Amino acid sequence: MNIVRGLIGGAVGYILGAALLMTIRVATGARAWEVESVSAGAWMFALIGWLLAVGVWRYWAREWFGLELVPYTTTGWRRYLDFDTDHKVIGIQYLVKFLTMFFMAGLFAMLMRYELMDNGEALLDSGRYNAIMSLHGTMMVFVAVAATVGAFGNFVVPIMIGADDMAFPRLNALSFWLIPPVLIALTVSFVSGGYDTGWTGYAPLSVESDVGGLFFNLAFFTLGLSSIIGALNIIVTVVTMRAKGMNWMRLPIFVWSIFVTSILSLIFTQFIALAMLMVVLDRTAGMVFFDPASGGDPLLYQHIFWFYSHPAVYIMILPAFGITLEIISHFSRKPLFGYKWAVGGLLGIMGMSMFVWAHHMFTSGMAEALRKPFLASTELISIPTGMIFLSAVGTLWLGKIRLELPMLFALAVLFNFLIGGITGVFLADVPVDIQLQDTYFVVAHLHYVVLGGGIFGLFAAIYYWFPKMTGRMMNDRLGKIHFWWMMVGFNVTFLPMFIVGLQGMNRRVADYTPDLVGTNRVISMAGFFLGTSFVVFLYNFIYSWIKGAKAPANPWGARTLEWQVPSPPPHENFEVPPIILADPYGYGEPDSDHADLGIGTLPKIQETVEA
Amino acid sequence: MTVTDAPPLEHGVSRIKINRIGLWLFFLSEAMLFAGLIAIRFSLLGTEVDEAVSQSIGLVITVILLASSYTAFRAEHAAHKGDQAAMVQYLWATLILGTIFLGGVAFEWYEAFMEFPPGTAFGTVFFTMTGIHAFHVITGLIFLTVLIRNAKAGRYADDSWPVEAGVKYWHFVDIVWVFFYPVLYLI
Amino acid sequence: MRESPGFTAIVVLSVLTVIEYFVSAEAVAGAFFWLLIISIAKAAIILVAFMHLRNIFGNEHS
Repeated sequence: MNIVRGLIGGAVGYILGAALLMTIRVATGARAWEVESVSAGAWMFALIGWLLAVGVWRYWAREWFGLELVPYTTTGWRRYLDFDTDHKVIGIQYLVKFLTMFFMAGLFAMLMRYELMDNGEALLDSGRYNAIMSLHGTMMVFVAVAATVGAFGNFVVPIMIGADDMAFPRLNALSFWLIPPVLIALTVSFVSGGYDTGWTGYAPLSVESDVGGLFFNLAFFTLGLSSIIGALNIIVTVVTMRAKGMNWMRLPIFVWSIFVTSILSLIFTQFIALAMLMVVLDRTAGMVFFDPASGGDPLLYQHIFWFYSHPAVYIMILPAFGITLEIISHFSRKPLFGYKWAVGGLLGIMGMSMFVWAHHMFTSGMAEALRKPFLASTELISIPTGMIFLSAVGTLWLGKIRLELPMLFALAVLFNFLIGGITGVFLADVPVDIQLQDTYFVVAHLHYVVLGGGIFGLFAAIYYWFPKMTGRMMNDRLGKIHFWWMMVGFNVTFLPMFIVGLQGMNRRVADYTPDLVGTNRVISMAGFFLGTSFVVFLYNFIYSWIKGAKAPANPWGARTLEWQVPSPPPHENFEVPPIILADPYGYGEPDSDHADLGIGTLPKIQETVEA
Repeated sequence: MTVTDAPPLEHGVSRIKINRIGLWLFFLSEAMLFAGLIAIRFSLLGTEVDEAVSQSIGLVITVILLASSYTAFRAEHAAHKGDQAAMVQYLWATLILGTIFLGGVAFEWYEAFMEFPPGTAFGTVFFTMTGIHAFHVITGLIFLTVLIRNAKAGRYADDSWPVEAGVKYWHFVDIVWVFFYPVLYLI
Repeated sequence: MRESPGFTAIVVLSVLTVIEYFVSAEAVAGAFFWLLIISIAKAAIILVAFMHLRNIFGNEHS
């Protein structure tokens, strides 16, 4: 099997790398085996070994050495385990991988809520609690950063722009196959004792943490590599592979959001790689980036880290905005209100996101003069965000709204993100932030943004595109049960967190004062309630995939290109390259078609809608 | 909608142009990494330079790397003209100059370990910046080696894109050094 | 001088490097500023003369 081959390749790479490094260490007079120094370097060799074994060698690298490529013959479900270059296969690979990660991280959250049911230590001591909290945060951030872009950016974007595949299909497969090592590194990290720094991994604590922290750094580094490659691919695809007539102002808004997100990841992910690299060098090579005694500066880490990680918040949320606008237009049967303004909002967020990072650092001890400019820039960024909301609400206004499942989730994104966004304005205010820093107010805020916005958007996308991806419909009743269950569970869990935060409950601590026990009980119960809602989803997801009703090509009556091809789409997506005639949201314009697919079977969208 | 009457896209972007845009975007991304390193250097050290850096080695390896960029350019030029023999010669020249550069860095490192080890602020910055740059030089050298090997088998007679990509990557590494040299040695 | 593409560029680059060296060695007033200008000029020369930056905006070959 491919994955076994990859694991063996990775192990061989690790051993070779370790041997090489140990030889160098012996030659320079150091002790041969030192787990951190050797592992950090050998990890790079292990990655190369893994990639070569998993398919890069057979389907790609052999030609660099003048050898014949191995013909790709895998068919059926085994393609999903192989180094497949079809963007649709890769999209589903991403989706399944990140859903797995999402549920694992969710289980850690359940453990944390169990511990927090009561003050004092119940199940976990504070060290273990911190390890689980860190792992929960890390994995959820990885999911939020990469799941939507990876799954739907890959599956849907090429079809939406009328292309037959991504610009660099093999690079695309490579960027997916960098994800399993991320999970392996996190597992190694957890098994070897975890790390207690949270997903932010602030220096100097992260420099001093146990060996688990090193593997956290390597995991984040590897994920960064994968995001950069994936982002590059999407940008080139959108720039060069659009079908005839698909000019920039006819792009579906979801494509715009993924495009803008990709630009952010292409530019800023380098900084997280750099931050992780600096920590690794401090740990293993005796460097002193973050050691003030030798001329280093711990604040440097936070600047570099947030210079990536604040734009990363927009990497998490912009695809969700794109999905929301897309779905709201199709399910309100109206053209997207203020399309150009929505695009402008996305571009505005992209441009401004690089000037706001230090609002995470108001209490860090940075120069006080920096506070006011970052307060101002942070509050200014709500203007382009407001443009996107205006576009969503304007589209809903007087629309023929159909409350199908994807639409429910899209509306939930608006509701939840509104709360998350407004509490963000509180936190951008320096005096309020000084009071609320490191309390559950921040936890509630970030979960409203990332879970309430980003992950609800991910589920909207899953329910919307599931028929296209699998060729089967999701069970509607179960889906609606899941929606209300998740929505109620989510809000009852996180709204009270604002209150306990205002009352001074610290985040990232396993204990709290006795007066908060009551509210925390409520939060924990609601948290378990929220957790169980995903059992419904998982059952529905698996059952519908295997036994669901066959999906028609266009179950939602949407105009965009991906719904004009069969479900699931054929290998080359379109029989002939489509020609784009009009914008994708022209609902209510008689006899207007988005595209000519050249096969004479163009479904009359308007009629299917009225019927 | 007003967007419907916009003119259609000039269609059919050639493969080589798709590749080129991809490569340039990769450079853009990498440039952010090196820009970050330079920012870190100024953040930690201000405009100080340790007196112990060897000015003579710095100047010599800089000139060598610039010269290698010229030979790389000539290799690409020969490749586009279809002159395989000249292309291989120039690729060899680039490879040798690049190796000498790397040797110069290694020698500098040997000296630097005595003067400012990684446990000092300047050493930390110096070793990280030259180290990451040297890593890129090494990958470039591997790229050139593969190019030379395949060129001898006549693989680039019809499709010179791999040569162009390798040479462009080499130029990019050179540009990085154009900024690293004053930042680490001169200022 | 025989036709030799890129030769002018490399000569200019070398001269700029030597100037750079002496700007630093002689501690010219405003050295930081001059070094910045020279670096950007060198990078621009490599981008335009060696890397054909303009190619990505046009469609022609080489």
